[in-house]
Amino acid sequence: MDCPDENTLLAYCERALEPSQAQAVEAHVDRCSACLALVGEAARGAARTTLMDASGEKPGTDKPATAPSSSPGRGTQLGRYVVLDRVGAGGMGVVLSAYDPRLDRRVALKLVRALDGDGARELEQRLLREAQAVARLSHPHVITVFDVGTVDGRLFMAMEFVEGPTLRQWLKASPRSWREVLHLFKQAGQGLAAAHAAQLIHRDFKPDNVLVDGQGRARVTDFGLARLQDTTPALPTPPRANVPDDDAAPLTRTGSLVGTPAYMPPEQWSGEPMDARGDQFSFCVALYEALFRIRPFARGQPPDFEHLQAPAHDTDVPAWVRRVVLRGLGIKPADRYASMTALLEDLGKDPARRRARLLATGCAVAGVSALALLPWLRAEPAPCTGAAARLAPVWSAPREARVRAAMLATGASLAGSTMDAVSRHLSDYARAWEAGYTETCEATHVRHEQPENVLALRMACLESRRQSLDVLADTLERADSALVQKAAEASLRLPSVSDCSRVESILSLAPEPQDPAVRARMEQARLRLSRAQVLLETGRYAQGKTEVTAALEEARALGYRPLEAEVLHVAGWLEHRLARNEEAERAWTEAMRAALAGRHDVLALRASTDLVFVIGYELEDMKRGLEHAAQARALMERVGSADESAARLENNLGLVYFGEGQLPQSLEHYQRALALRERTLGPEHLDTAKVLTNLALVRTRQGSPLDAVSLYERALAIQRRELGAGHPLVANTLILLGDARRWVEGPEAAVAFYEQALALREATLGETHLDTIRLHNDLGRLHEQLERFDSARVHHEKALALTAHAFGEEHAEYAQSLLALAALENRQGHFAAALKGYDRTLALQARLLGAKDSSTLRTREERAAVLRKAGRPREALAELEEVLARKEADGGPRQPRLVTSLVELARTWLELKQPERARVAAQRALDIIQPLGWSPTRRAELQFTLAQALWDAKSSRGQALALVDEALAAFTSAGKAKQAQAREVALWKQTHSRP
Amino acid sequence: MYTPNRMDPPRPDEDAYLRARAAWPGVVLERGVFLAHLSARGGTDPVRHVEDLYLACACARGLPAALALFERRLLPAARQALARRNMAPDVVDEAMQRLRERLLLPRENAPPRLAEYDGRGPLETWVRTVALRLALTELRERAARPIALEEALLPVQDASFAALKHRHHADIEASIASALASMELRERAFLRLHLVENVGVEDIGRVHGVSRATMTRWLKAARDTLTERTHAELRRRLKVDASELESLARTLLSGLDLSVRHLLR
Repeated sequence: MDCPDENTLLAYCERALEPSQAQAVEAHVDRCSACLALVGEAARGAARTTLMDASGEKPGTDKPATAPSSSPGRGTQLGRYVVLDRVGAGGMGVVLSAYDPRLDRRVALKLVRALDGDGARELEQRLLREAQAVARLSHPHVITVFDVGTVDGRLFMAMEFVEGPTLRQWLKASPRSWREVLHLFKQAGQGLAAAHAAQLIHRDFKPDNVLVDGQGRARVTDFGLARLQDTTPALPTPPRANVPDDDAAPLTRTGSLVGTPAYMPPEQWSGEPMDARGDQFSFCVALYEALFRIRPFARGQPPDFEHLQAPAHDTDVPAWVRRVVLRGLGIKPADRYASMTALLEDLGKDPARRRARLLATGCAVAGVSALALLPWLRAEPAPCTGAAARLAPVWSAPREARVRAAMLATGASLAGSTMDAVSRHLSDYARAWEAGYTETCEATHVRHEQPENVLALRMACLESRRQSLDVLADTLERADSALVQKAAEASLRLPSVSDCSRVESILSLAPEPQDPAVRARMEQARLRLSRAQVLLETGRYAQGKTEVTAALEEARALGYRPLEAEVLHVAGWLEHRLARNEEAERAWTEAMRAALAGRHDVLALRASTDLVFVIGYELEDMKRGLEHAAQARALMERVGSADESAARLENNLGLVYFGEGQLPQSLEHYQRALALRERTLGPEHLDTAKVLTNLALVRTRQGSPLDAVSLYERALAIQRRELGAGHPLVANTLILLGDARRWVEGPEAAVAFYEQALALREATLGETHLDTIRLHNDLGRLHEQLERFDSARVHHEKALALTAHAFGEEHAEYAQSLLALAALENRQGHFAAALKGYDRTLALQARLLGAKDSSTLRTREERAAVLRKAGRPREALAELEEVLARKEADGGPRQPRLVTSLVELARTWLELKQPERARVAAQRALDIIQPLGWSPTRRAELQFTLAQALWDAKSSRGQALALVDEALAAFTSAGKAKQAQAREVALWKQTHSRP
Repeated sequence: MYTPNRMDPPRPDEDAYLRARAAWPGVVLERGVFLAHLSARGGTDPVRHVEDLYLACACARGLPAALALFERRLLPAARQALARRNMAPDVVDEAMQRLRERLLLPRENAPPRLAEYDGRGPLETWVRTVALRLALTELRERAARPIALEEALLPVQDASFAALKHRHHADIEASIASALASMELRERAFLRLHLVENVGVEDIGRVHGVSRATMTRWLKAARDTLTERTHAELRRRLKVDASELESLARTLLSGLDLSVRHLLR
């Protein structure tokens, strides 16, 4: 499918194509979502300010004929607009009707009055913000803004010209039925909701700011006070005497108190921050006024919010409408609807019909009619206010203080910063829980749209979340220094509150046993599960397993499959953390079966997603891993919108492909995971940082270390903030960042990062932790590259001594340390010493790991290279052929794992003057990596080997030289990191290219 | 230099050159060079964005003043277009760099790609579109998550609808799909622009040469057709003979209608 080029797409949007061509474009776009996006982009262009008007540089057109200071008269040219008429004036300046010759239409031109003095910049900025924000909106109930700019130093904004009365005028013009009023207000409300969705708050909603256009539609305008929603407090309240209580005064002249007094929400009067719920209040004041022809609150500065004014006349407005409006008039923002959308939803519902439906399905509707009888009771007794009280025993300021004291008492260097993160995460969790509790309760007791049995299930779910928080807090109160390290992450890993609002999933669960005795045992098992979860996240795996075993026994004895599934899922994670991946697979497989049997879809999804990772990545069985991915996708369909699960699955798939060396696919999955997490968790979440580091690793492998550097830096900033600068995870990222920098700038650049990480690990993990020991080896290798062999030896020997101390000499880790030293000898050209070291390593590895283990095979490969360099190529050949045979027997003839062996084999054949055989081996290696998208430098190594073989075979020297050029280009453009290789290739070229 | 004689017929090319040159003070192209560039791209007929063609030609020839304008006026628009799609800042940066390379560097035996711009739409739009294509296809930043229209049409909010959707998901989807398939190509094109790409009614109207009001009517008509045909198909699939099924279908259909209206508002 060939996509049309940009010229064609633009011509389509400009209607410059023949009908048949246009139809062809439409047919293509019908199938190609990328081109649809392009057409969308091109179409959008036409409405915006075009190139020539983008600045005042072009002579002749942008200079207005006069420099108007008050109100430009008819015929005056302002930029490209010609003034027709003056329409009105407001606090900001004048509104003109004008003609836009370019678009051949009439526009409304809002021109800010020439300002000087202190307020000038503030007003200008405010208007600019308005224009930019509104221009991003496109909504049938919001006035469209076309253009914004400056003319002769004055700000102007061109917008759609709507001929018609304001909503206030419309209401006054003739008597309107409540249905008509509601109809128009619902439209205006949709306009507001669209603005809110774009993070815009109107801040001055009133009937004067809504126009009724020729087709009778409501159009919200004058987002004069709108600004991007943020948490900065509103401007302070001026002395009240300055505030005129007058509809016609849209703004105080000081520009500090913004809004119109009669419609301003209470929080604005008291100078508190105002969010979208403030607009909701203003909207409801206006709606109340329109329906009942009286303001809800008596005039005053501020109005008397305590007393509601009842209508003077009888009214036919139904009670349910009244109830919705009254809720929007809640004094505290928390008492109102969560959003305009929620309010509109209720305004759009006819409760009579809904009531009938509820009755028909046999649900409790007590309360509905009672409420209808008490329409004027302003604050209905709120049945759902208990969330905070319910949570207080579990998480409160005193308990937080106790936890902080306990953490600080451990004396761990991380304690302070960790506690900050913990209290941030836990108070977020507590807030989410309270919101969830209130929402769940209101769905039944206030909105009457949720049956009691659903309420009970959701509450049980919330209760288990509360218990998890309690268990975690309890554990934190008894912190030790090991716990401090895990606390920040553990506080992010509490089971999700939002799962409790997945009504469909909860309803589908197998019903719980009702017998009180059984229920008590179930509670007990649940408590154990919560504990096991916390023990898992705080790194106390052995204790965790004890709890899990007991919980599993109980769950099985009770025969309640959903609980059994949850327990097994935690059991799997405990196994995985202990690096027992086969056991993890078994546990998760059982978890998935139990979940399916108990109709616990969410958990079945989690378990199969985790199986993708443990089977496809850890156990290196890609095919089966992908099968689980397909199953996870099917479960996701069942569960419904599940962005978080999708992100987890994408990330796991990225890992699987990465493990197989299939970098482009891996990149694609990681990118999807990143986009999903940025959207659902936010760009600053720890899990987002995880995807960032995964992505960075792929980019490094693909030879784009610069990308990787910026990704790592982003991840590092998140980890430092969320976990504290001294956290061990920060050390990991420092090392990765160092590696990426090494690619860009050479080994020297990495040393500082490695040393920083080493200091950090020594402080938090201790000297004998394996991660600390291996970092000594890494530093040693860095020094080797810099040819500082003495420093290298110091680090490798230190690692060896520490391994012996921590693990003893009969241990695979000790073999690893021996290996590092042998490699150093090799690098220094001490082949005899190197071979001795390899022999010792191999003896140990063969004994401890077996001959088939991949570490053993890698050691043999390295040893073969030394044999070749030491002038013993025949022995090297025998070694390599055996290694290759073993690898092939395990994973087939085309696996990436063969590449290193094949390259070494080619070099050995070259040494043995068998160039044709060398060529075959090198070519095979190249064929394997061809589809894998490896970096140019890794390919260059292979190309260089192949070129040497071709040259020596004297068959195709032209091709050899071409390959060498390609390799040289790759090494050269990789910069310092590949300097040595570039030199080697250049030298070879010099000696060979001349006849 | 050729000076037109008073008796010569009007020369649209000459006008174009003078007009275009005056539009970009400081960007000086030889008359012959520009006119050759112009005629190679179809001349002035139909009316083209000659000023923009002039600038593109100057950029392609590497004139510093033109390149400065490219940097100052065109790139920010492209950057904004990508940022509007919530692409990550580093992706946008990379795309901008690639865009410069792609459009301004000469290729083997060919002028830079900017020379391909043929003036049938504004240059700024062209550059934005190229930038987006680059970001979509090469950087694989699927900012425009390919949402199937069927998906966009299904309501997610309505709780009572959720249960029905759960049970009849396949039927509902298939019904919408078949209704969509039965619509005219062009109707589907503007519905998708509107629903999937969130292009404003005004802009879509311009693409089809009609006013905002007309476009709104067209969209409404398309929506009505879609709803009607979806309903018909659903009725057929659910075989609403039994009274129980009938009431169920009614709820289902009103939910669907609600969602379509919601999406088109």
